[in-house]
Amino acid sequence: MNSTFTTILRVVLGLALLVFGVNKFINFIPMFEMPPAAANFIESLETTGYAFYLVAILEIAVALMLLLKKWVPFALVLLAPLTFNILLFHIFLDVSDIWVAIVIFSLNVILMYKYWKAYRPLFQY
Amino acid sequence: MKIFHIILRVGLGLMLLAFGLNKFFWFMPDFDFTGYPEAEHLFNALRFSGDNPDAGKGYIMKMVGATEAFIGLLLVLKKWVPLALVMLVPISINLVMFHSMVNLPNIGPALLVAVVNGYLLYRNWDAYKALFR
Repeated sequence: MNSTFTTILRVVLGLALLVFGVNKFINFIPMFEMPPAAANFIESLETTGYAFYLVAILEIAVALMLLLKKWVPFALVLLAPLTFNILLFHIFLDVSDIWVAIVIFSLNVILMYKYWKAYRPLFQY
Repeated sequence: MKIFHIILRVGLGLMLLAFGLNKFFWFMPDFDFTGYPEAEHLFNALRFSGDNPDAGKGYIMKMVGATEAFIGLLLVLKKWVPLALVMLVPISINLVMFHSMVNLPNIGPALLVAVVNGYLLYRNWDAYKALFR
């Protein structure tokens, strides 16, 4: 848990999430091209009015927890559905930008593996 | 008291199994979304994920359905219960948010799931302590 490798992974993931999260509020990364099914899905999320903000707040909260090394196993559990669905979105709807999704998901999985002991109690009874 | 908790756990499990399998076999009557265009848009976008047959069709609903059914099964069998409850949290939160923001009439089952989920999490809190070290 204290090895340099784990620290690097944790900080990289935290910074990436911070960037993506803040981007949903300030929009400094230009929107990429998407096939119509993907665009339709993203648009339907936007019309709800809340979905993207929920994701952004989650990303920023997890980023802060990771960067400050506070409640890290919990942060990774919070993050898991997010990274998993980002990956699925890219696999099924928009294969062009899939590398970022794969990297983020892998970082999440590797860190969870490093913190495996914290998750043992979840598998009782 | 013990029997009450068993009823909650098994009841929630069966409900999730039913709703989860419904997303594959569609045996329950569809919700009525008239007057709620955003809800209809989102629900259909999730259900079909693009009606182009070449695109990855309807993976999200199936994903949610499979997860719900899996959680339901774990709860009914009393296996890995804390994990099942944790996996349920994003679904419960988004269920309630979806209904409270875009489709208020059908919020009943969503609130029920969220409340039972919360209560069972509280009862099992010891299993989650290790996450916060």
